[in-house]
Amino acid sequence: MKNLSKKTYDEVNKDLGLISTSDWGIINEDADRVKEFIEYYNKNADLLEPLKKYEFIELVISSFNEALLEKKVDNELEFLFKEFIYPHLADEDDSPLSRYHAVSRWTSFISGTEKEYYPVAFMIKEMMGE
Amino acid sequence: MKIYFKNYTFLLAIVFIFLIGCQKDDEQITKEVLQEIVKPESTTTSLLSGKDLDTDIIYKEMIKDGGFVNHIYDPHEEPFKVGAGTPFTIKIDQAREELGENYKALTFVVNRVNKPIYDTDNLVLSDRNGTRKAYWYTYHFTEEIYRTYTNDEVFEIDLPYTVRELSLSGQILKVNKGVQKFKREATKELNKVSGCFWVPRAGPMNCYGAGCCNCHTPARANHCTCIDKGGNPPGYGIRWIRLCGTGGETSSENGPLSMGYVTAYGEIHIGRSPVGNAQPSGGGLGGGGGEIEEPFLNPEEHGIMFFANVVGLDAAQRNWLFQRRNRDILPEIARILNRDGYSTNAMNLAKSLVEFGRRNNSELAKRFIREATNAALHGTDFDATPYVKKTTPTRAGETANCGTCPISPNVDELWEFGPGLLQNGLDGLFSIALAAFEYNFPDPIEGAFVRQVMKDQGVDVPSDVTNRTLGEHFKIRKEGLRHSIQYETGIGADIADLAINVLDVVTIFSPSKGGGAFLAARGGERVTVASFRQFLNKLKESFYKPTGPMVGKRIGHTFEKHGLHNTNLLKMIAKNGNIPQGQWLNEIEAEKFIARHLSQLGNGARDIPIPANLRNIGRVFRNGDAAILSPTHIRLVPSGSGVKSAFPINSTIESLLTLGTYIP
Repeated sequence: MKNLSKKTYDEVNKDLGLISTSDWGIINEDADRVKEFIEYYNKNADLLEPLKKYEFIELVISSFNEALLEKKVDNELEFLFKEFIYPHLADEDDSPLSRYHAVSRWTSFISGTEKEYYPVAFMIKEMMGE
Repeated sequence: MKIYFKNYTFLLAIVFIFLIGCQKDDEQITKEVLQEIVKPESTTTSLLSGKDLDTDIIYKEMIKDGGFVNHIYDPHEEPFKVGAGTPFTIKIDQAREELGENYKALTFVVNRVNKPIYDTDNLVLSDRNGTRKAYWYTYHFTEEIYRTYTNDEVFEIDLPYTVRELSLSGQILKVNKGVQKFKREATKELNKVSGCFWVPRAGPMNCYGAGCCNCHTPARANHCTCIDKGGNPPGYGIRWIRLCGTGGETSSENGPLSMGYVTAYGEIHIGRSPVGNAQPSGGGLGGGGGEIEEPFLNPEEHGIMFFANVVGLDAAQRNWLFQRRNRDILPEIARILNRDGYSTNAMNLAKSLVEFGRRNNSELAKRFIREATNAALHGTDFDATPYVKKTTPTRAGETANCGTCPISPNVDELWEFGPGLLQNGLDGLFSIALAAFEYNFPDPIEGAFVRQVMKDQGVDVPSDVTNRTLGEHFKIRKEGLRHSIQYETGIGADIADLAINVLDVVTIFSPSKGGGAFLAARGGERVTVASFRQFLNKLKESFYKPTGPMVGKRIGHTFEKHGLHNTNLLKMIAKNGNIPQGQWLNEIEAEKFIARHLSQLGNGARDIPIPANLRNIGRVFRNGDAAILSPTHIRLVPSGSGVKSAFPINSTIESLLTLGTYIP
């Protein structure tokens, strides 16, 4: 099997025109680019390190959340988003950096005063079957 | 069939005892000769395979190159061939070996011409101080004896037998007849579970088909390679099957227990058969023919064979168990199997205990087996103290100099109990136990070890937290040559998220504390992993929520991701990535700081410089090694009325965005 070299952090930023920063997935969120981010992830998943996958999941969820807030989500985008999320919920890695955790942590917004800003939390909780 | 183990005298020992008192006649062999055969004390017993026999000196000199060579059973020929002088053939694919001081004996199964249906025959070859002897035994079983043997009733019957002393070329020299006691006690039930019987079932193995061997054989022809073409030696394999039902039904699986007779081999088979077929060929349907072809095994040894086959012991494990000194562990293990209905876990535990005993014959190891079995069977507490060495804690990873950090950087988070911490904490015995058990420790035992190691590391687990609870939530794993304690799958990430230390965790377990009482009430008598995980999720949701000037405004990931609770995740991201990670250490002050600077965020994110006296508001984990640095700025990422995120940064390792102005 061909040994593929991983994409560097800078290469991903260059590919997508994103900035390098803490909270990469949050600060670079874009409600208009959810589909593009998902497609990029799906195309390059084998080239992304586990940490970058974790951050990419944060980027997609954060962007989709903004799209929900800006009412830019149609049926196709919702389908694409759920199709993107479900495999990560099946990740059995127990590490804090697991893809499961990258998704499940968003449900913490359901309680407290932040819930109006994070409609995606309810969708994820529903997908988790809780 | 019911087996008992303890204090059971060997079959041959009984022969000896009986014969001392039996009536003699001209054909009787002498007492001295019998002593040649019977060496009941200080011997070890093993089952030898055909391969083992190839290198055995008695086999070589008395059979293969000796006077019995013409009696070797050849599967390519009729099994009842008559050898020179003596009408039996010897099966050489297996033998029972007895070893004592200057004494050795091999016992073989033999086939005999015109053998009555329930007779079974053995050949015993012995060597005492270089003197070779040969005896041919015939045990005259009856249908009644076999039926009794295979049910669970207490019995004691006289088993008639004939013993013949042979010359080393197989000629009969003397004949003696007698009876021996054949009995079973009431307890130690091994193989009868819920009305079901385990019965031996024979199956042809390897090349045993008419298609290539041209001999009378069971089916399964045409799928073998003859031995002369590189195939394996033919033979029968004993398998054990579980037969249930009340009996008496007409269907095969639930038919009455019966015995049959395989014409070609003259062997006794036990199995189920339809009503009306009282003496089925092959032992009947359902059972398919249970074969007892090792009658030289006494009931105890039959039990071991049963145990070995059901549990799946390998040859080394089985032979270890055959040694008399090791057999006393079997009754308790058998009870575990019975109690748990031969579950996979019970069988794994049983196998693990045997393997552990095989690897370590020390008194401490025996004590371990005894106490571990007792704990598994009766739920009694298990004290791991004797098996764990005291150690000086040596924490793996870096030790941060955090200055005024409100939390200790050395907090014992078990998530980080690295191999270095425990490598010296477990002595050789425990390492062997780990290897043998392959992590099949019952929770009470694993928990006992966890408790002891934690205690050595300065964590006194509350006494009301049971070993079972500890065992459910922690696991001991081997990493290369070292060991570590980890949280059970499913809660490790949650605990890491919360950055609660191990003392917090075990306190939560404690029924006398609020959390433990709460969880125990929800989960019944104990705190289960599932209920604990629910509890942790509740805790996770309780990260800092604004209580001051940011109430009603968006605070985003400021505390969800960068809060005091999230140390481990932030450190892992920093250590594994290219970007530093900031964490708040004073969340109340952070909320006030953010609120004071919201007015500067109208045109995007800002990095606000902070004075030296405010640098303990947070910290920064450096990318690459997660070393801790003091913050120089606070990055604020705006969103409507509030922020999407806010966190400390250090300008020496992170490029600054547009600067803002610090407002005291």
